Amino acid sequence: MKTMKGLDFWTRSSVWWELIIPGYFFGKTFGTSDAKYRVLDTFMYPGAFIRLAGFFRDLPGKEYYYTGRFLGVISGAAVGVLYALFIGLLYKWVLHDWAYAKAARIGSLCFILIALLTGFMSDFFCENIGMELRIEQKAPDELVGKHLAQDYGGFEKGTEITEQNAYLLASYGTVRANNPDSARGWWIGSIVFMYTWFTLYFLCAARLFRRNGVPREKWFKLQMVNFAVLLIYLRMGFGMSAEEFHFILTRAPYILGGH
Amino acid sequence: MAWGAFSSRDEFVRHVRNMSSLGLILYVLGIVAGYVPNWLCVMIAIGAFTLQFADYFYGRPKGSGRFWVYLSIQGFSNFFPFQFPGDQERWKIDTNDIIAWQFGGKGFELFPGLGVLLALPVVLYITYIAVRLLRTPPDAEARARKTVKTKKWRIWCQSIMFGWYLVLFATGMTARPVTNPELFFWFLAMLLGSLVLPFFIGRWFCGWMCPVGTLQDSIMRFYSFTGIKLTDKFKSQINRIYVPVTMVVMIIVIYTFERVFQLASSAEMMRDPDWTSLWKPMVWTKVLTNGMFLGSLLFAYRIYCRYFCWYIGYRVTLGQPALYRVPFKTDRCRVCPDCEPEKRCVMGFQFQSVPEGEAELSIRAIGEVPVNCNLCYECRDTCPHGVFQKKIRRINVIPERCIGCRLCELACSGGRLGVFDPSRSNIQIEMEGTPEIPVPKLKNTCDACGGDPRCLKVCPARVIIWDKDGARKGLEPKRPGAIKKLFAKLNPFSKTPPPCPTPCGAYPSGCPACDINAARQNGAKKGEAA
Repeated sequence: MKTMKGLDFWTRSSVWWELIIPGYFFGKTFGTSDAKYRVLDTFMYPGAFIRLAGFFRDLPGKEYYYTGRFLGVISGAAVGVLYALFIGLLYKWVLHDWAYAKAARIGSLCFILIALLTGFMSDFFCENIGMELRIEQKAPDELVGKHLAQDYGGFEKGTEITEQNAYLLASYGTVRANNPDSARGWWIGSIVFMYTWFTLYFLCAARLFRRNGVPREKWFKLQMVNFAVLLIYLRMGFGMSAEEFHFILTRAPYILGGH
Repeated sequence: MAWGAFSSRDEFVRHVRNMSSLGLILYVLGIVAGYVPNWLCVMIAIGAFTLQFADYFYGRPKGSGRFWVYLSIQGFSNFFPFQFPGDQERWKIDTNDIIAWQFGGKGFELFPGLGVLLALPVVLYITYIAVRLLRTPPDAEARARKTVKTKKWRIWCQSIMFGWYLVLFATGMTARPVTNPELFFWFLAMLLGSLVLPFFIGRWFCGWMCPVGTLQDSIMRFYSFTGIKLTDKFKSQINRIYVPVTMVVMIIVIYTFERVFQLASSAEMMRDPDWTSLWKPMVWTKVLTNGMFLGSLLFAYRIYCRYFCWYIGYRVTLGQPALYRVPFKTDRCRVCPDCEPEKRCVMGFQFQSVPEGEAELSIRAIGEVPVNCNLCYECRDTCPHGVFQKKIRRINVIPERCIGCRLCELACSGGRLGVFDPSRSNIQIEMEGTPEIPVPKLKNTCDACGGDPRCLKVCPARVIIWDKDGARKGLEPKRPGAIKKLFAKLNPFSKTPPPCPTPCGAYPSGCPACDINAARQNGAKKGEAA
């Protein structure tokens, strides 16, 4: 791997900023949820990250809302930076190159796509939970005027569970119903989007390897590192399984009750 | 010369520049005084458009004149201003819909009658310019000077975005409530230009859409006053502190935008919207965006974009792994002493030199322009050797056909240099063998006359052909590609014949002199007989 020479401290320091910024992108999402909704976010994101960021967010107390939020975001960002450094470590192991900062930077810049995806996922998935429903067409008659838990997932099973539990929600006031067809479209769209983003991640990583003079024979190994990191992230809890969805949906009235 | 005609390009530029700058002054004045008409925004945008196309429109002044006629009609007929709101609470309710903002509000003028007073002389001046342009004959020299292959699309895009931004800017500045349509523009800018597009095409937004860039590409470019001048030492040093500082500032900006537009923390905002403290990031963002727009007026052409724009850090960071960058084909570069792309590059890239300490990662080594490039394509339009194009059209020769007439040598030197000197032509006919037969040889300096080779036109024996497959460089034919080959192999109904390895572009149906084709035809005949 080729490295620049003759640059001074400040320019070299920008390499570290390129490492920190993707970490910030990645981790800040973990620190945005407050105590009430943290339990839901643990189903979407790695639970350990959410709980760690949540601990720091709760430290200042309820009256210091923005201070708590700041601490939560910063602690999440620290997690992100550590994750980026972990990728850099794996890159260094593959490249056999002592320019660790450079390796970490490359890994981090590739990683920025996944970091942004994490932010997007909060929009695509988590926001639906416990909030107003966006889709209001074709509400079943038996649910009009009752509290429907969520349109998350958007498959028939979810709607069925919701209908079965509708009576639990009636006492919490009037909330809108959903349209299973449209919600299913959101679900499929989200999955397509996520895997398209993963593909873009590998393509962008290849471009970055070329521009940084990474030897061609190392490309495949580095992409395998990327693949492994993705798998680790998914196995840590990124994304939501149907079982998790079922768990949330049947307990949503108790989690979100009274709002 | 008939009355009303512009006598020179400089006069044309001067008038349009004066008109645009007058519009800009009235625009700023209108913001302060509470009166900015819609058409004033369009006027500045059209001024920018005609200035960027100065050579093009001086070659076709009637085209420019018709723009200004349209504008004078607009000026006379359209007096919807953006005014200060009388009742802020009422204003908030009335202007909740962003469309309503774009067509003016229901506020009041701080100085009643000022709008009409300002409009009348401006409209008369526009009419004056329109009449003079319509009576100006085209300038052949200006028409020949135009270099607008890609540029024309860029300028269209820039002008439309510029007009839209000015409208939003005016409504945002004259409206006091915190809800601001201008921020909506920057929200789109952040979302598209900084969050999505950099992964695909880097800083494309800066070159094609950014209103600050448009302002400088057009109006500011034609001022003799070049703004605050930066010394070479400053330029060389600022990058060293600029990159880290911008990135730190960038986090603040991102955090602010997230709060304003609920980008990544919308879940939280929707759960617990805190409307009382939302005005703080709003004001902060307004100061940044408006300060950027107005602050750019202080600097020379595109200096702001190079060194001071706080968006750059974001786009450059995200643009590092971009799928596309403008290519730099080092093997095609002739290191011309008067490099036109280097002179025109708005980001000041040095294409021919290798910076100290960065040899391995320089433009010439990597074969791409840096991530800072804003894809204006001035370099691609002006480089005669196709250095910035991925593929260029090359020519090749089929020596067996040459009859030794040497017309190609004359056409090459005469067409390129203006003198009939075969020794200086890029194609040379050499006599080889016993008995001597003519063999045409192409020099490496041949660039196919930028896509219009003279020799190809004059050759009576069709010796010179287009080098479609790059055989001149010793490459194997690439068509059909690997994927097509795979599908052809998998498809049991495929009847695609194998590609001919010879560079026989002159005969699409197969060269009659080619041994391979002859063998194929023989094979087909045998098959028929069988």
